[in-house]
Amino acid sequence: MKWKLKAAEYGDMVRVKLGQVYHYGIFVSENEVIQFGPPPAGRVLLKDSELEVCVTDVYGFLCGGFMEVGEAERKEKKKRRSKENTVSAARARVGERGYNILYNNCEHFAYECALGEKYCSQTEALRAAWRSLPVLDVYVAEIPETCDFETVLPLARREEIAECSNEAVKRQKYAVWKLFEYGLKRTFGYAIDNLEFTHSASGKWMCNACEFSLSHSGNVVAVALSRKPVGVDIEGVHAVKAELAKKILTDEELAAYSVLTENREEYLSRKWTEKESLFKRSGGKVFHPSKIAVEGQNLKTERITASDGEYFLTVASDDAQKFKLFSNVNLSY
Amino acid sequence: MELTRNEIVQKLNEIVDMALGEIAVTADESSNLTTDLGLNSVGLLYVVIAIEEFFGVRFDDVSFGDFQTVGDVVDYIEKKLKA
Repeated sequence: MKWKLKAAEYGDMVRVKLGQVYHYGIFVSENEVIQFGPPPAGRVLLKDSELEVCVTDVYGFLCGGFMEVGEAERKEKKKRRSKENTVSAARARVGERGYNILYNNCEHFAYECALGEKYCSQTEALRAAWRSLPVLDVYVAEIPETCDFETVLPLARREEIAECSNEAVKRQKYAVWKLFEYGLKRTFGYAIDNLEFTHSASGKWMCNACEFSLSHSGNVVAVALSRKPVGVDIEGVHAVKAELAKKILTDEELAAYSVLTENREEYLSRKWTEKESLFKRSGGKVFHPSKIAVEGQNLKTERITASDGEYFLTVASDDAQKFKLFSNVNLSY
Repeated sequence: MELTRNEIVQKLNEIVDMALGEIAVTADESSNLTTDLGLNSVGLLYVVIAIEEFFGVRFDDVSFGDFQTVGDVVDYIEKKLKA
């Protein structure tokens, strides 16, 4: 709908800005503007249950504001009812109740009278704004003593876990998925059984609702959730030994490493998590850590203390500044 | 694995922070939405839409006027999450 400041005519969809919101109605004449609830201005706010489709004159509708008239855009023209049918639809609903600011408000009412279907640009704009907010939630948990493998969803993941012959890996895969299930609920309000899962070309699990990355090491599992591609990796602070230095570091990193006199394994382990998280974010197939430079990348690293030792946790994301850590999640439900 | 009541309150605090910017007061269940958090009708609309988006619930059978405190909102979310 395009909105213009001009004189309204019989059957027009009209609106007026009152404070931060618009109030909508159907214009019949100077003495008859039909709207869902009186304008939210200059009166004691009524409860939703008290609001009904009502008629005021044009001055009662405008409350001192300026009238805007809606003109159907190209895609809306086929749906736009005739002016007579618009007015008939509006008049037939005078006295109707059931107001709900999100699903049945004055804008929904006006659109339904004029176009035959409910729509609210104001709530849709707010939803879009919330959905575009950057998110980077990272969850960390220890593997619970008891693993109830039968509760894992979807079935394909349960089967994948069942096929693992190594009991420790099986428990890690179980725990990281249960942590993922928790994070989906905590971050986005998603129930895992409502989502669709696929695999990328590189075999990585993907879902239709958000980006995520999983990692496990020792007795700890980590999950990162975001709206943008994300990679997470967790490793013990002494996991990477000196003999691997040449295989995982770039020439510049190797030069920096060679002059270190202490915490050399920690340097390597941290670099490893940085590189692997970047690799996971990229969705690549083959991991060549010595070809991945971490300098200047959007990374966030934390040192995590668990019952079996200390770990480096690194997450790679364009929204690294929004990093929020939820550690010690209890998976023993 | 449903969210605990305490986790729901934490998440509500995060949402209110996002909606209004960092606020000095951290809400607990007894916090009044208007007098303690300073939410006007438009601010409440922002927050309620965010709750729908981040908790996966719909406020389709309730009037916002029914909510006085954060605890009232938590009750509603808990009921919806269990439904």
